[in-house]
Formats: sequence, structure tokens, C-alpha cells
Amino acid sequence: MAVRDITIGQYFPADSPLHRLDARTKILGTVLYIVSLFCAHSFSALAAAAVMFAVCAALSRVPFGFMSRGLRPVLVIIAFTMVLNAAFTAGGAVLVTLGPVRITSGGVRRAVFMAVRLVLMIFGSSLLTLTTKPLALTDGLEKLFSPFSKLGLPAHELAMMMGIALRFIPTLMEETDKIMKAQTARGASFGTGGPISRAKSLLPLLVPLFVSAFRIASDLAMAMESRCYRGGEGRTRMNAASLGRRDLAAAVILAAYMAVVLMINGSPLA
Amino acid sequence: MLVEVRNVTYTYNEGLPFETTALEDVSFSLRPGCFSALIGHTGSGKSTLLQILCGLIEPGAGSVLADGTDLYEKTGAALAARRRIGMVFQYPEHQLFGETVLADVCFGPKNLGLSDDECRERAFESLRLVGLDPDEKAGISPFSLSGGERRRAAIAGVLAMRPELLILDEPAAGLDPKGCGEMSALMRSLNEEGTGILLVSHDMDEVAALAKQVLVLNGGRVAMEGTCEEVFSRGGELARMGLSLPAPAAFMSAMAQRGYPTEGVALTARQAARKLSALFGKRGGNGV
Amino acid sequence: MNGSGSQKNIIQIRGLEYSYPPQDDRPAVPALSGVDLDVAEGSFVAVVGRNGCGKSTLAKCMNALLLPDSGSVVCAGFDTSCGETVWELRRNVGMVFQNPDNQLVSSVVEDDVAFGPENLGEDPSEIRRRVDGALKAVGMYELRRQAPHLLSGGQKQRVAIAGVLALDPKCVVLDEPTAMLDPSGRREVMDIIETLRARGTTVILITHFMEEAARADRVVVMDGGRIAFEGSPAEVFAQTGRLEECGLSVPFAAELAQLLREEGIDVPGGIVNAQQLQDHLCSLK
Repeated sequence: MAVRDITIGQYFPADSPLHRLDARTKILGTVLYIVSLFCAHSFSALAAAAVMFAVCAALSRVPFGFMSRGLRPVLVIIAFTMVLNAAFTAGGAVLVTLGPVRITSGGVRRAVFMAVRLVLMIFGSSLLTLTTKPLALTDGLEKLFSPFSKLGLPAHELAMMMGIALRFIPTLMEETDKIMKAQTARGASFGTGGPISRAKSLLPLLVPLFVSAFRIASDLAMAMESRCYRGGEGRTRMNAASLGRRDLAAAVILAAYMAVVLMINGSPLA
Repeated sequence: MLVEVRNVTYTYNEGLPFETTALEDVSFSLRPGCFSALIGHTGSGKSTLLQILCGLIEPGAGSVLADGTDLYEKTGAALAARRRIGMVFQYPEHQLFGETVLADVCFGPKNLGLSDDECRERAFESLRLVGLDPDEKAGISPFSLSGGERRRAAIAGVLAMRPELLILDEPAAGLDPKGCGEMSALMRSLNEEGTGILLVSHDMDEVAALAKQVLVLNGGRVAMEGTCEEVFSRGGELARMGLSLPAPAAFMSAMAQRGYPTEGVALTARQAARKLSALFGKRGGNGV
Repeated sequence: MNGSGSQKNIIQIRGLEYSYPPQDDRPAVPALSGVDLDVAEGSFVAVVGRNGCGKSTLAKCMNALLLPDSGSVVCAGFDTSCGETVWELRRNVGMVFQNPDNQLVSSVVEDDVAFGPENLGEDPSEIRRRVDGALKAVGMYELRRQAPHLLSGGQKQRVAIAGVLALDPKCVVLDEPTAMLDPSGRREVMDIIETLRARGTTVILITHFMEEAARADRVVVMDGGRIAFEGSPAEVFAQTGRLEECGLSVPFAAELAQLLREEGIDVPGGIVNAQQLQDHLCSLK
């Protein structure tokens, strides 16, 4: 897999009801969705969450293949949590015994449950970045946090930083790929040997990567300054976002969804 | 070292709906001590081919042989063969990382498993080859070098592996005219000392001035192969592939279109001047 | 130098000196020493010179990204060292940089172009009008919703130029905009520069490519932090020896014209592009 295949944090341009929602609605919706996943204690509640995701995904018009490509890099983590859960959860009939480790039906159930939850969480939150332009996303965050700016929270600066980070993820991925290939051509091998030699072997990758990140930062700062950027004060937006009827409808649907999850949550996980 | 590329095919995202074929049935060979140029429009498959040639990505089908050894076999001989091919990527100065120029240049030889003394010896030799005085520059940080010097230091890092075939991807990109001239001189002197060179360039004048053979890649296939004279006499076909001619050849071809055709192809300003003087000069007709 | 005295100078530089501040163990590096330059409004000026001759520093001084140690830089009527008018100055003198990747702020083309006017606090409808206008001017309107990292180098550079045009500047300074592009990208950018020139926008192009410089009204040759010499392309590229001293070459047509003269063919001075030389040769018979 090439590094550029990673789709987490990428925007997928399309014109869908989800794309047209205000970023603030989507941010709060995503937060609510993640909360609902943590509240869900039964497979049926999880099923409701899955249905919710499926509906949103269909509405978003983002091809499922594109979305799922972003999942590949975290497959390892998911597999790891599954193994841990399966191995260290007691309860139910013993299925397999591997030395001191006994895998029980309860363990398997829990492993599957956690994996589904994790997958839904990743998919659900990737839907936010896939359907929201980074600048709209950061604008939304800025507006959500602006009440706190009187308390000294640099809402605009944080939002701008995040927007720029998102913009440069693909660029830095490409850069990483290039540097890795260049050092491999000089006989480097990454991540072999013990922990110290492994960390050391990453230096030829990390140093040039930092240098290039600094170069990008200083170039970009200069370009922004030359285009009259002087912080958030007095700035306007081309697409001044405003909450509309659509957002109200979304809020109602989300509230109903949350109620459903809590209601069918009756039977806690065995 | 003889490098043979045999029926190489490479497809990105194979099996997915958006699969794209980058290379299709590419075959050619690079003789020992050659000076070849690879040209092609952006997206012609050049960069994929380069990565396959220097052992970074395995072709989907076909093989790359270095003196008969397949680069992608899982053997020690294949690894050794891959190490005989050096690659200078575009903007190679972006890969510098060492605390000192010496440490950076030694990175390659160290990975070859050479002793410290040997690494040092090779580093000094390579720095001299690229025109950096080791006594003056070896001990300083590569990041305090000037832009042009950084590039040369990075090239020294590849030369220190003593490759028998050196691949350079746009080595003169972003350099000023003098820097470009120095880069050409460096490639020429390396070649004269026996290193095979494969130059990838968009600058047709650079190609015409340096290369003995030219390979044209178009749409993932080898579209032409031959000497500069042969390839650059087919201006019309090159234009259809989005490629231009060296300035003298382009000039002569424009003159031909305006009713003043000349025999053969001009690759240097002097050749063009001779041909034109035969047509327009008072002393014309007794030379060329 | 260029045009009549009645013409307004959009850029006036007098006795400009600039040194990069000392860093760690390195002493201060003088980059510009005593530069005087006038640029007439609406003209196309190319600045050439070897690496490290100070041409990029000069470009940054024009946009108040660097402030003179001594001397003065006045652009579009605003002195760069006057802190209060610096934004007004930058609105009038736009700047395009070398690396097409590192100057685009947003993940969507049209949002990036909107960045400048948003900073100026324009109305949303006015921003939209300017963004559409700028994108159409550089031929990128169709790709306005695309992500920058999916564009070619030439396309990215066109977006960067649109981002500057959206500020509605009187003058655009381009600092080696073609250095990192392939030939077709280079052509795209040069075509846009011709469009700017036709619109009456002043263009200052810093470049390594003599063929590009030959298309300007005026060429300024820099060396060692000073202006070595300047003049029309015809005047400058006739001085092969001085150009070589400055580490530069001449455009192919000027070189060929010189060789033809040596062959005894009557070729007048002042030929800097292939078209001119072909026209002349064809007129001989």
C-alpha cells in the first residue's frame, strides 16, 4: 500500500445533503455519534448505530471503497484490540485453551463488539472530514469555540492550525514516501533490529521530514503574510455559513437516534 | 554492467476499478558505461520505471537483469546487483540528514557494511568527484551548505556506493545556468571514468548535449529508441507525445516549414549555424 | 530607462541595503548592497542572476516581507518600512513563490483563492465575484472544487497566481515561479504572465530561464547583491561576455544570431527570440 492511499482526514468533493450541512452541526453530530457508541452496551444498540452510519454514508455520496481505504492503516490496531479482548475477557463457555490463555465465548463476543464499535467510530468520524471542507471544518470549530476566546482560548489560531495540518497531510505523506525511497536506494532499512537501533534507523527518514516540514512552514507563513493574513480579526468568509432548516432537521434526527440507542440499550452486554 | 529490462509491466491499484497501467511490456537494455537519456511527458511512466530499475518496486510482470542477475530474486546475489545501481532522485538535497557532510555521505557505504576507514575514504573521494573540497566541507553540517552545494553533497552520498549505473532524475532542476553547466560536466566526467549514466530530463538541449542514446516513453510503452540524431529527427511524433525538440532542431524545423528545409538534424547552435550559412551565407555551399 | 518620463513608476527603490541577520555561529550575510531600481507601471520586467545574487531577497523587499537596513523601497505609493500601510501595500503588490505546494493554504482550490480577499474583510458576494474572476483569468474555473494536491505543478502555480489576482493588485512579483515545473507547466505560467501583461498589470519576474526573460520589456541582471547592468532584452543579451561573468547564458536565438554573424551572414543586433531570427533570415531571400 502506498502511503498516499490513506484517506483519513481527506475531503471528498461531492454535492450531497451531508456536504451542505453546516460544519457545526456535523461536528456536534459526530461527537454525539461517538458518545452514542460508548453508551451502546448491546449488539442491538450497535446495530442501530450501524444503520445510522449506513444512512449517513449513503446520503454523503462518498463511494464506500474510498472510505474503507482509510481503514486499512488502522486494521492492525483493530486486530490487536480484538486479540486482547478475546484473550483477557472471562465468561461463557471455554472455546480454546492456549497454554495459560483460555478463549471463552464471552471473550469472543466482547472482541467482536469492540471491533465493530471501533470500526463504526473510525467510519463515523471520517464521514465528518470526508463531507466537510477543511476550511469549513475549522471555521465550524472556531465558531464553536469562540465563546471561550474571552477566557483566553485562541480559537481562531487553533482552527487555522488544524486547517493547515489537514491541507498538508497529503503533501507530507508524499514527502515521506519520497524520502523513504531515496534512503532505501542508499541501502537503508527501516524498523529492523532492537528498539534502539530501530529508532536510530528512522533518523534518516525523520530528519529530512522535519526539515521539509519546517521549509513548508516558513514558505507558507511568508505566502500567507504576503496575502494580507493578520489573524482572525476583521476576516470575513466567502461562504458565510449559517444554520438553516436543514441543520434543524439534522438535530431532530440525531436526538431521535440517541433516544433509540438509549432505549434499546436495555440488556447490558453479558 | 549490462542492465536488461525485459517485458516489464506495472499496474497501480491492480484489481480495483480505478486501476491504471503505468508500464506495459517495456523492454530495453543499457550497455556498460552507456550514457542514455530517458524522456517522456509527465505521466508517461518514467518515475515508475526508475523505481523498478533501482530495485524499489517489483514489476508486476517481466524482469530486470543486471549482468544476468534478476534484481527481484530473493537472493544475496540480487541484493548485491541492486546495490550496483545508484539513484539520484529529484531534489536529492531533500534527503540529507547527517550531522556532518561526512556522516551523510558515509551513510550508503556504512549500509554496505564497510569499515569506518573505508567509508571515510570513499566519502572523501566522492566529495572530490562532485567538486566539494573534503578538507573544507566534510566536517560541517550539510544544512549550512549553499543550495547547489547541498545537491552535490547528496549526489556524493550516492556516488560513495560506487554504482556502476547511475540514474539521475532531473539533476539540474532549479539550478542557475552555471549550476546546470557544472552538473553536465559532472555527469560527463563520471561517464568518462566508466560509470553508466541514465539521465531523466525534460530539458531536450541537455539531453542532446550529453546523451548517446535516447529512450522515449509514452503512455507506459517505449515509443522510440535510438541516437539523439535518430530520435530528434522525428519532431512531429515527439510533439504528439507532448515533447519538444532541442532548440537548434526546433529552429531548423520551423525554417523548413517556412520553405527552407535542410538535410539532417541540428543538435547544437553551431550545427544549425553551419546549415543556415550554407543556405543564406555569401560563402555558402562549400561546407556543411 | 523604459518609456517616457511622464510614466508613473509603480516601484521605486533607492540605495537598498539588506543583510540576513546572524544565525548561531554564522555572521550576518549581506544580500543586497546599494540597489536602485524603478519599474514603470504596466511594464514587464525580468530579473535574472545566478543563485545567491540577491534577486529573491529583492523580490521579498518589494512585498515588505523583508525591510531594508538602509535605503527605501516604495511600491504603489507605499513605503515598505511604514508599518501602518503594509497591508495596503501587499494588496497592491501581490507575490507568487517558487514552490507551488507550499503557498496554497486550503484543501479546496476556490477556498484558497478566497483566502486573500477574506483577509481583507470583503463582503461574501464581493469575494465570490473576485474568486470566480481570478479563477477564470488563469483558466482554473472548471477545477475550482478540486483539491490542490491532485493538480499538476503548472495548475497549482496557476491557482497561486489566481490567489494573488483575487486581491486585485496593480503589480505581481513572481519569484522563480517556473523553477519547479515541467515544460508544459512552464508554458502555462508564461501564458498567464502574457495575460497579466495584456490586462495592464505590472509584472516582475525573477527567473533562471533566459528564454523567459527575453519576453520581458526590460531585463535586470543582478550579481553579488547589486544590479550589474540592465536594458531591453536586445541590449542585455547582446552582451554575452558580461552575462557570462554573471554566471548566465544567452537565449538560444541570440547565440545562433552571433554564430551566423561569425559565418558572415548579415544579422542585425537585438535579436532575442527564434521568431525574430527566422523572420530576418526569410527576408534575406
